[in-house]
Amino acid sequence: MFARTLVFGIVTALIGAGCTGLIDVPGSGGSPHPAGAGGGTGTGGGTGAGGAGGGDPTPWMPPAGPYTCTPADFTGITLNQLQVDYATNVHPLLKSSCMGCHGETSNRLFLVTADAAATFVLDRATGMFRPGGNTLLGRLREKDPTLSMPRGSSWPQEKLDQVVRFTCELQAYEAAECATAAIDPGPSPLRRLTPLEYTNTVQALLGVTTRPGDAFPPESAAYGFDNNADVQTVDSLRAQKFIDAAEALGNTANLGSVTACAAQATITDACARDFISKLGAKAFRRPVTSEDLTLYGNFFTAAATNTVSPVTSTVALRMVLKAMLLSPHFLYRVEVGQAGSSGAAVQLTPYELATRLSYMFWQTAPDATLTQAASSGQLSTRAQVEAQARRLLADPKARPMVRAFHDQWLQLTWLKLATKDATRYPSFDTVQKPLLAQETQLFYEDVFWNGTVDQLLGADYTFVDSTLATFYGLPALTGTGFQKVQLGASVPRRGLLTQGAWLAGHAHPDETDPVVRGKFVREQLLCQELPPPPVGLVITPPVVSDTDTTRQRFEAHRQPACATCHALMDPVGFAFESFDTTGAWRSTENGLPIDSSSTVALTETADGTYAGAKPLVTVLAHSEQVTRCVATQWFRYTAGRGESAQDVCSLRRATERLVAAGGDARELLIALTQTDAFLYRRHP
Amino acid sequence: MIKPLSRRAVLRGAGRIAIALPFLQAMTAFGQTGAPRKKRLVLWETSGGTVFSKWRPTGTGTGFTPSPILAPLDSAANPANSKNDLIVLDGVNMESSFSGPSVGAHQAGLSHLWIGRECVSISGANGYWGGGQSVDQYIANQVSVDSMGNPLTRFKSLEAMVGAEQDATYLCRMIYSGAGKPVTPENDPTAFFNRVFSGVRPGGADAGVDPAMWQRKSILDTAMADYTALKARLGPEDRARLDQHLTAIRDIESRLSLGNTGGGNPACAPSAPGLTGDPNANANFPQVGTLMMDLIVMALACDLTRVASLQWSHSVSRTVHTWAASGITRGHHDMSHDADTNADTQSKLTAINTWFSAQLAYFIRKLKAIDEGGNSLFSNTVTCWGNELSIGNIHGRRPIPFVLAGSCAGYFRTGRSMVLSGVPHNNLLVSLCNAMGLPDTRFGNPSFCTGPIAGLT
Repeated sequence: MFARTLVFGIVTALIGAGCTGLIDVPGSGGSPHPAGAGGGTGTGGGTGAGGAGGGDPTPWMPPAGPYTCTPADFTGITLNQLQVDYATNVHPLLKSSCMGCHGETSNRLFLVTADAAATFVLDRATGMFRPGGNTLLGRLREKDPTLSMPRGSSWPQEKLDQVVRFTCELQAYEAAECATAAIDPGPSPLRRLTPLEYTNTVQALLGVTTRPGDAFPPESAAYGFDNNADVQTVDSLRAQKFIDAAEALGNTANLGSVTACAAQATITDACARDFISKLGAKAFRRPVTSEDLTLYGNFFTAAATNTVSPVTSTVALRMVLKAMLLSPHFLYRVEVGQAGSSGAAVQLTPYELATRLSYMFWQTAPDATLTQAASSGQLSTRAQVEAQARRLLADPKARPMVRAFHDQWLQLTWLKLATKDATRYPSFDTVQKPLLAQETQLFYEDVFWNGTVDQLLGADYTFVDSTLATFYGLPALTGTGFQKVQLGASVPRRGLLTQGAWLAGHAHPDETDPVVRGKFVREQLLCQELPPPPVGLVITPPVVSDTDTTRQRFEAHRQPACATCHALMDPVGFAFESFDTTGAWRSTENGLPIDSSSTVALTETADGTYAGAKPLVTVLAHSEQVTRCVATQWFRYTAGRGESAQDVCSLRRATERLVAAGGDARELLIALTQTDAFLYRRHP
Repeated sequence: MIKPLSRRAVLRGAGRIAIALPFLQAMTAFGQTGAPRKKRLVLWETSGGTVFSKWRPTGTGTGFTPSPILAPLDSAANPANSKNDLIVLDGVNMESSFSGPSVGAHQAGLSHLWIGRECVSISGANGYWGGGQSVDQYIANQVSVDSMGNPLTRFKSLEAMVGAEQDATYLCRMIYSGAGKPVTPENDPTAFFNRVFSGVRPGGADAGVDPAMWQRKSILDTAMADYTALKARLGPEDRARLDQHLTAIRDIESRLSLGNTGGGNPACAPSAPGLTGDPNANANFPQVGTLMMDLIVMALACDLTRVASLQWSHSVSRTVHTWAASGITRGHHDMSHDADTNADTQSKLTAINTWFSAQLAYFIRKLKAIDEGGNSLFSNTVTCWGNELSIGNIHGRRPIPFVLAGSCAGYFRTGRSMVLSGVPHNNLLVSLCNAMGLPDTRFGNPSFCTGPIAGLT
């Protein structure tokens, strides 16, 4: 069952929840998770988000299911059949219902064109037929979990069925295609060293212990990650910081550690060239070329012999070092791949692969073993790449990367910025906050290195010291420091989403924030992209009373203008209302009882009504949608870019291996090194 | 217009190594009567909208009475703060931000405020970013060079921010060098000082020839050659990435020899900021703000740049303004969502915006304290205070509470309150271009721009 769901999920249903529930549990009549799994009761698609009645525009909800979609029914479908079905049944519907607002002249992003063929992208490299991510159908299928279109009208059942059927056909086609598809690496944008990678790299290169990258401006983030190549711009400030760092390093570096002759009082041209070869091989992460030697060798000679501002040969060599630390071959992970025609999918060179592997796992330049493997032709097969990947992952040097991923993906860095109202929580910022951060780090590291992805949300254990045991109301600890403790059946907490680090980081100084908590679940755990509020939205906020509960105040979002999006976020966030802004348990707020019941809709398999956080996270923990999202997030982080339509098969294979490994995330990382996206690139 | 040759231009024109040459008399010395005044632009941004009932002045024209929020700018306690220095602009709408891809209100506001055109998406990343060059960068590109294209100042522009980054995304970037290319502001005063004032001699003394300069320049030349060679081997997207980096290095290289004399102004007396705590810590927000304002004033006084910007907080500000009024315990953005009928919140939001006014008042006083040969630095500057939103709770952008402070060397006729009827804010951006000496008639999306705002001059 999972494999089929996987196919479905990666291309994600056009009509989201209503469809998928039936895919996963055929004939279950919309009870998408096992009864008793978390105390929830399945409600099926079509409810939950529909609370916004009335008003104009009216959020559109799909008619009540069932929609049947079984990709296996379409096994063997041809590209031509797909195109005919699209042109005959689907495109006319999009044209009549969508083109008015999403046409070429209406200044919107997601186009439906009058020409059926233009609405789809036919990938000429692979012959695969895919919905373009920037087309309306692609958007609906991949990005619009609200199903908020078309506004003010609805599609008749038979039309909806046609679209769903087409989606199924597409899945069947893609599943077959991925089994035999030509190599498709997707985009390989030029990646620049992040501030952390810069620090690690110069420490290894020059043997320094300084951390120059700490002075660099923060990287722009995309998908929450600070290593996305597509937003790694270089402005004047960053360029200046690179210059400052290169000068500081060049002034103090021990030249003799690169080559002994460089420590002598007078450095000859031959010594300088030896220095450039040896330093360059490490700094540029490949053997130096004759062009490198010419550029930097001539620079040494010119500097050492100049009469305008005479310098010693040692200073001249330091100038060479500084220039090499500014070289694009050092600051960027330059790749062109093996020989091939322009645009062809080519395997990376061994040195490029060594660099990808090393920065993926260790966030630094390749070590001697990797470099040796590259130079001796031992990075030519998938098995050789996998063996190196396993070596790197098994080393403690991989731990900072795992921490960086989790801190960013799970937005744990938000805790650091969170301050709580000191009059109500006087000790939180100084006492509990740092301990909570420590707890969650111990927890996710244990899950990653010893456990499986479902435990991240569902584990019945955590790590606390005596202060946190008190904070959580757990039995008193014997001994000092952090200890792994089991959470008994009566403890209302399971996994990350019930830990203070996440709860306090996703809350206001003096009250909770169901919106950001719900948004987190949608975007970070389910990989759904929420649309922004409508342009020109004017809302009239309700009068807030000090005697309300937070939930009562956020219920104001039920008004039509807000409900379309907030119905996706708030009800999920309400599940955590039993935890206050610091993450501590509470049963009342302003004297009123807490209502942490939660109705979740528009997920693939987690729809239902839940009695609170524990039953909800228990279902999410085992949700295949979350599992797939974990793989997608790791892909974004390790590839340094968002997934593209060309990555469908790469992601499919990696996710299949994660599932086959019982959810062991370490196997997912190994699998990611075996994808087309990792091993290949398009030749420039 | 032929501008008088600057001394630095001569030094540069004479060769890459700065050495004194004998025709200095051809140039206009600092403060000399008849010297053209150096115009400066400062963009000033606060977030979350304002409280219009406490922001709108009473009366229009020259006879207006500043509102409670703007009161610090017209203060009996500080005679250097006078309403005569201001133009309060009501009725300027951020029309362009209602066009283009549907993005969140904060993002639309922050991305459109100084750009005035549709946001863009970046392939391979989520979300939308500013869709063009912001007006300060457009202006800086032109006023930071002389009529021959030679750089005049060490920096084209300087960008500063007060408060924690929170996240380095489009929600925290308002300055763009081009579509999808945000310019990072610096939020650590110490780092800002070290970068900006390195090698600047106090009191305008001539630093002489810096032997390190030749080395740095030749290092950058070598690095640039490497970028150029590599570019040819890469595909178009990667080439554009390297090009951006190369352009930044080239710009730095071309300005290396500038600024060491501090513009020749004896008032150029930079001193290191004494911040000891974490610049990101909430409690240090006011102190960081003061230091950043001091540093911007000094950078302008030393003529290290003529265009600067100061951004107060992330657009979705978590800053808890405990210093603005007692009882403030929530983040600014959070409070800005409360209803107009919540009197307690309204009074706190008023206090926060009044506090921001007081910061601008301080900035004005500092600018006024710098003499530039008969005119104050303030009189040569225009500071444009804008906001990403009009009112926080409706996240509206009609109108934006704009205030101009300073005449920009007599260009703006200050001392007035103007009530306009829905003028697109792109028109104000055009007026800023004109004030800084550029002849533009449109800026940003031309569909939302009809020319400079009438009656400002």
